Amino acid sequence: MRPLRIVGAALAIGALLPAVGAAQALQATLDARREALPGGKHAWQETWLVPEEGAAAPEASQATRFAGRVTAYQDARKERLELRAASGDGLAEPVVVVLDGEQYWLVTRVGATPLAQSARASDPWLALVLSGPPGETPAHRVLPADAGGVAAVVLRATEPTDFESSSAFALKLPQAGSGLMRSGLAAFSPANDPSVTAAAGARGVDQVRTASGTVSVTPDPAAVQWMEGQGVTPMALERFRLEARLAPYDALPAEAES
Amino acid sequence: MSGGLVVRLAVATGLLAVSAAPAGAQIFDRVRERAEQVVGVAEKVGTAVVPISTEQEIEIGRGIAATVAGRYPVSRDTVLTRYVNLVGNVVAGVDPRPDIVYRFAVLDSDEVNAFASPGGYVFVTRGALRLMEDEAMLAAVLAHEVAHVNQRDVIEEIQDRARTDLGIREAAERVDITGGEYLEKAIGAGANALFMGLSREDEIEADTIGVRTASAAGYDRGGLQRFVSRLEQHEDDATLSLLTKTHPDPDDRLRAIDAAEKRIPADRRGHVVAAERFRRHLERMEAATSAPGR
Repeated sequence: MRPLRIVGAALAIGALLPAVGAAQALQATLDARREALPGGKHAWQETWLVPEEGAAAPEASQATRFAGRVTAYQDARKERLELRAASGDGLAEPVVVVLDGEQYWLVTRVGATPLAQSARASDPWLALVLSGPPGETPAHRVLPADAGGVAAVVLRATEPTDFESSSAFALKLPQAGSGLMRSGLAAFSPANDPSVTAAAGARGVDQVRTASGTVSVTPDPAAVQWMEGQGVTPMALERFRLEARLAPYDALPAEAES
Repeated sequence: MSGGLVVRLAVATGLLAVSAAPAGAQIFDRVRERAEQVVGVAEKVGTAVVPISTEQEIEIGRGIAATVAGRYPVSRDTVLTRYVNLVGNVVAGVDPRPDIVYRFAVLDSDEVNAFASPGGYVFVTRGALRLMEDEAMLAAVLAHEVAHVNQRDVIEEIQDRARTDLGIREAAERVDITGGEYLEKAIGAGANALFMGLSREDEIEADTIGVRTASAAGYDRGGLQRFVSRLEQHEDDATLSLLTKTHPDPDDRLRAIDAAEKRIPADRRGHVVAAERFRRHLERMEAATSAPGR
């Protein structure tokens, strides 16, 4: 039995070696990122476009799709990253990563885990985001794939820095979402789901004063209910923006126009 | 200067005058007692009547929206409504209020107008769409309306009217102006404000924010200027009669809009006009409007 045990242990160690290597590589990435953090208070949001299929696209524009949004908040030696991946017609709950000044943590509803030790660390998109520059970058950048072609197109826009640092770098999630992201939050709020409508409300009034005199009105609460059912999904909004190259897609170079 | 401070100054001035009078003490005491009452009530009003929660705002907004929809029918053209919702949500997404959902609809009316009801309900008329030439103009008009929502202009108008209508003492005692019977009064006051017109300051501010917002969303910053210029060209048209009565003079608006455009840094200026996409939707709207059986 003894030789078998030794062989078994050797096999187990052999299986672990790549994982150990990946963990070391990730730790090196995180250390480099921490060192490269700019001083002062910054916030930005990135729109990520990834290949329609596979790990690489031959061209930056034609074969990419909207992958999700990344929002970053930075202050001195601290950072918070929120990754919201495209999911169906909406965006998934954010993956939240916080650097508390010492190390990076994965923050979930049940607590915080050192990022380098979490299973989430193997997520390819998270790895790409973490390896990106934390400081100033061009509004539009193309990430090359290892095997050639394009791994991702990233569009970055600066965001207001009026966030609360005490909330941003806490190692716990607030009750309902982060509440930190201003831009685009309403569009991606679950409340914007077209199926969500307000409870029965006020009926309206039957007489109004106008600049041309008082007029009688028959209020139409059914029209308001109908209006509440006509919401647009985040994906539809992204496609609409991309089609006209509205912000943030206006950062794409002219030759990348789809 | 706050209302409370004005009252305090008035009281102080009154006390000085009374203290110089020969009959001094008794009058002085009565005036001081009355003055303290007035200060107390004014401070109560200043702090107590003002708050209207988001839930109450949405409730009031739905009532006002139902009133608007009663005055002008809401178009049930789902393609057109979806298009207006997409443009509206693009501009609303620049600096959104996280506590509300923005909803947009087209009113089946030849009148040229747009309305913003509290809580995120925004309307634009077919007449206004016909006066536009491209999506940047639509985006700017919707951004102007979204600014009214975000600045809670109609809610503030309701609060002001509550103070005036009820009187200071009564308003102080009836803190929750949206509770029960007061909800209908609030909706009535808000609907009247919408159809009578908001203040000149509110309109100019909405123009300024609208220009900045539409440009930040990526649209040509000149959209609102071109739309207001179109209003000026057509100001004698009957379809503009309500709008011209409820909005500042186009020349005043154009001056404020021009100043707002100039304040946008060169690298923050949007350039999208999207005339072709807008034209496609407008042509479709016109074809649907003139279709037999309508």
